[in-house]
Amino acid sequence: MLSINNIGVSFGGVRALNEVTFETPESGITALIGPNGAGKTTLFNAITGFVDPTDGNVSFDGENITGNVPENVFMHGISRTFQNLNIIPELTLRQNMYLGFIGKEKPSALKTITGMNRGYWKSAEERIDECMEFVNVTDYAEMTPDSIPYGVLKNFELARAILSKPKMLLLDEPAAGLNLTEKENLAEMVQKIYSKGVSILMVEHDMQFISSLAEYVVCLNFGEVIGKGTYQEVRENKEVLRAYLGDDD
Amino acid sequence: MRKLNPTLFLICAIAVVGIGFGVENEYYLGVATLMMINALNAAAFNILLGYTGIISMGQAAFFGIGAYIGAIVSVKLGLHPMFAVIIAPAVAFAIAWVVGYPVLKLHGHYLAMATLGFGMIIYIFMNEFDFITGGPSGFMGIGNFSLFGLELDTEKAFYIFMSGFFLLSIFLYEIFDKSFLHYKLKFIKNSESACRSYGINVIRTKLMVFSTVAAITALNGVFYTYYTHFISPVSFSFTYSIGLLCMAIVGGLGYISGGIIGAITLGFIPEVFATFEDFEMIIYGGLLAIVVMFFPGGIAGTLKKLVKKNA
Repeated sequence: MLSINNIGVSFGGVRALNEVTFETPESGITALIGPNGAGKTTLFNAITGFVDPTDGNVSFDGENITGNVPENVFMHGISRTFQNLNIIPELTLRQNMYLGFIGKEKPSALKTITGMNRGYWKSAEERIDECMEFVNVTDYAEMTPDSIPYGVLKNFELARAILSKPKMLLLDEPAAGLNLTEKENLAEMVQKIYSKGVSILMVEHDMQFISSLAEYVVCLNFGEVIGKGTYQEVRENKEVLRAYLGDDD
Repeated sequence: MRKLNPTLFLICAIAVVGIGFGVENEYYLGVATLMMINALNAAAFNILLGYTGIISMGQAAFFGIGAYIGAIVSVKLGLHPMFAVIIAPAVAFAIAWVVGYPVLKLHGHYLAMATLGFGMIIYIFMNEFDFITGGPSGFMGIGNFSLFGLELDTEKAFYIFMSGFFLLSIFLYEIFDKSFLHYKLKFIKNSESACRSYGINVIRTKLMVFSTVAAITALNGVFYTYYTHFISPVSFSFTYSIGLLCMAIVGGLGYISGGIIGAITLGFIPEVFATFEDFEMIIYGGLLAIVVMFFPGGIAGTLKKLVKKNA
């Protein structure tokens, strides 16, 4: 589905990614792991068009999307979340959901102001209700984020990311800052989204979280792939162990 | 989308009708007319800064462009004022688009400095290109505004016209505030990266907002010209841009009512402290500091909080 071919990214003299190559399965959950500074988020940014790769290419569903701006990558069916929550404090969760809808469906400003596209907004509301229900955040829909638990807000981000019916979802450290119960709940939601046919690629540090979800794992270190395969294979990979635990001597 | 809230419109309607009927003194009618022009500019500026996060320090330039086009149409070309009403917003929109394309890629202080630079260029142009602008002496003898053959030749007539335009604008601002455009701009202010990853063309949207606000400001500039019958570059200096910034912050960033409340509040300062004329900016600065430190949501934000608390 997503094919990364010899991707390299340089920032001035710093080589952040070097000849990164892997392919995500046609349908599945893939985890991207690695120590801090390994280049995981840079790779996410290269896939989603926030950073232009210096070499190599990215293709999605057989189409080359290298160098596309983020708006176009989204239109190809790739939706992503960020490490930090992007929720406007003064708006309710329902109002915050619109971000996931208006970019794809592009409502007409003139028609909205003159009340001519009520059908559009009705379908938007229905889709928003559907997605919020799907990740169990409906009870919080009319509340502002300051009075909502962090774990619910993380689920909310998933609801917003699937509003546009993406083919693939990129999650950047979804479990960061969550307690054990919240992590279990989030894992359940990610699994539920995957069961609807959405492929998932996630950057994550929590190995327990990854082991419960990911079928395929790619490990990066200093911008290079040092191991890939099933969770068990990567866990036993000596280079991966060395990157995380250091040398014996 | 959210339902329209008529409160602001009704309060403004009662105020302008009350002033229209109750005030005969031409000076006070003039103060009210200028307050309405400033309120519309401040509300438009609030859409830039409070909603979209675009800090523009060059709004006085667009106000000036509108005003000078109004003056040229009247004095040099001898055309009907409606030509200025059409040409000025169109020219300001086009200039803002050209200026905004490179400038809006900047953020924060850099954007403020770039727009400040644009404002200074226009200010120098107004002073130096005297064969077009009349130089520092400006334009005199600007005719009356007329609409459908009706000449607005008295303070009262212009006040009534401006009141109608003011209320219509507030109604349109309210529609904007309750539409998805409000959310779209606030999403952009909150995180441009998130917006781009959700398919929103951030640069295009910011350009559209910047240019539309420039057009609105220029249109108000036209009305200002036909109201004062005299313009000179002093009215469109950096001080006016700072004034708009103060109005938006004191009134409340991110609220349409904020610009209007700010314009009225700061509009009273020169009247109340007439004897301290030279210290006007110090009073502005003091008020700004108090609001930023103790009432970060401005007057509108504080009122909203109080209403929510007591609800």
